[in-house]
Amino acid sequence: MKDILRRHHVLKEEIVDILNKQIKTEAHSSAAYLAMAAWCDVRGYDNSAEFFFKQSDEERNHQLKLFHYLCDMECEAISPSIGDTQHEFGTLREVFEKALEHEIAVSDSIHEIVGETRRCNDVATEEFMKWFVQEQIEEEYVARRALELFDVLGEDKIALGMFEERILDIKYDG
Amino acid sequence: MQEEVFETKHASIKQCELTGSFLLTFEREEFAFKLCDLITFRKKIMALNLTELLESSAPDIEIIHLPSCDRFLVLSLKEILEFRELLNGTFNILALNSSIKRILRKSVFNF
Ligand SMILES: [Fe+2]
Repeated sequence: MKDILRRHHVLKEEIVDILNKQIKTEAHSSAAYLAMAAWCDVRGYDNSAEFFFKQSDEERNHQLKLFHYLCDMECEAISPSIGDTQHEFGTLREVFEKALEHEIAVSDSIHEIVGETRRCNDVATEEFMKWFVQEQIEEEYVARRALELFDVLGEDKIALGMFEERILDIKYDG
Repeated sequence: MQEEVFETKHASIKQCELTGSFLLTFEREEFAFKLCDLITFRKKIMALNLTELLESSAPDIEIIHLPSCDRFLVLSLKEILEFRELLNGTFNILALNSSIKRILRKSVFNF
């Protein structure tokens, strides 16, 4: 009997499911960052807004990377529906706290996927996910550094101005 | 060439090696599926909530749309159970076949 399953279906169902779940997570992240960008933008935190607009684009790219992978493997890639995202924040610091919280949750789910690929002995997908593991190290670093700026500068008007000056310069060069 | 993959009392699934598709026969009707459509179909059948179906006042049937061939299936509770058996059986056999083929593939490098 010809092995149609292997010819057309490279990935196991569990892997397809968990990757589709991640696509949804990335889409949600992208939407969440867009909301944060809007909050910053209307309050005159232009650089923070730019930071989150860029972040939103990146999440969209992560989503597409996973999406193309599923398509390339001839598996079902599900265009995700996105639930409500948080639009209201108390302070600029709170926005960045949420961002870090978000990144940590994303890292957790990336690590879960890697665990699942190991459980399924899916070496190819594990390799594919390595890029995401690295990416999360950077994203978490940047979010953490941003919060540390508040610790150093404080949160009065002048401090927020200085924060604005520095936010776009945070880079991970590990 | 068609080969039977799995069979239950009233239904069967064959695979067509030429087209790489699957043929579901049920009540003398035939439905053709590509592999990805068959996987989606199985997901749909598995996701049906039978307890809800039994407890609701509506008749105990489910209508399933098959977009790949644009047809509908009207399934009774008993038939849903039979389809679950059929699809699980089919995918178990396909997975088994894959495993066997993987072992046999090793002989490609058998020098
Ligand atoms: Fe991401």
